Amino acid sequence: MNISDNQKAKIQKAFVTAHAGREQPPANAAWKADVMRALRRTALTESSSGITLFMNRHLWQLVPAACALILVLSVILVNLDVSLDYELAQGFMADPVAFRAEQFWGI
Amino acid sequence: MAHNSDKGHDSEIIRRVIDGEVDAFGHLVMKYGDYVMGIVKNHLPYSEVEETAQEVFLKAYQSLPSLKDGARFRPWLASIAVRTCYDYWRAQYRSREVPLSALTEKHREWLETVMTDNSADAFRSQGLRTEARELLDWALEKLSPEERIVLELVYLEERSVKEAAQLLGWSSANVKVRSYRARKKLHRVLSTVAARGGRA
Repeated sequence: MNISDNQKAKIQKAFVTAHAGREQPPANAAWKADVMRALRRTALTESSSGITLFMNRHLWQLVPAACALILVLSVILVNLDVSLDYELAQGFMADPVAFRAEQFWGI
Repeated sequence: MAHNSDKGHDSEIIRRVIDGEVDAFGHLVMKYGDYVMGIVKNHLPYSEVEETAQEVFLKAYQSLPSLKDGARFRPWLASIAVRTCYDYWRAQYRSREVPLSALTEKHREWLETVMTDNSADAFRSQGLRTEARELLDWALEKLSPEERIVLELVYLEERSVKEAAQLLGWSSANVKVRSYRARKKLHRVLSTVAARGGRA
């Protein structure tokens, strides 16, 4: 059975009335006290993990400083003209035994 | 003017709560308790309203630092309430705990009366009858959680697509499409009731 547009409109009006008339429990004092009790429990749990919370909230603020530090260190390293491979090869060629001992035993 | 100072008052309370004064949140619970209950009762069974409204305030408390503008607390809270109701139905559908109520001859008769009655006040008086709510709940059970929440907001509460989209955090196009499909499905379900007596 097809429902006409006119009938659809009538059904909607009746349903809107039915929907609006749904019963609502009152937000009474007992309910509010329950909400606040649950809230305080939550707040207590949150404060026990306060350090984690602090880190989560504030650690990201250190990101620009960390980026700047990385940039400065990179510039310094480039300007020092250090070539690690070359230094290692030179050490090995000059005194292989001492170099080996240094590698293995840290002497 | 009073409305603005009211919003300013909310912002002040929110600032205090964020600074660690948990009890200050009690003012917001007092002020918006009935408002949240009013939203939740439109979407959930009566027995679930109090507990879900409590859940809404807990979520609001936990997300309070993410609220950019304290003066927008009321619509922000409404959005949390609607999404919590949507989450409730999604969980119910996942665990398949949606009770499928049965229809009787009374419901079919009610539908026929509404469709054929021409008096101006008939829709209102018919809508107040128990059969109207029972038939509506039965039909809503046939929809998916997405269709259900959209239909309730747009078709039953007569909110605009834009408003429903803001409450749900969906795009307007998404709400429009889902609303269209939900209406179509509702009418299909109702037409089977009208034709066969609704023992689906």
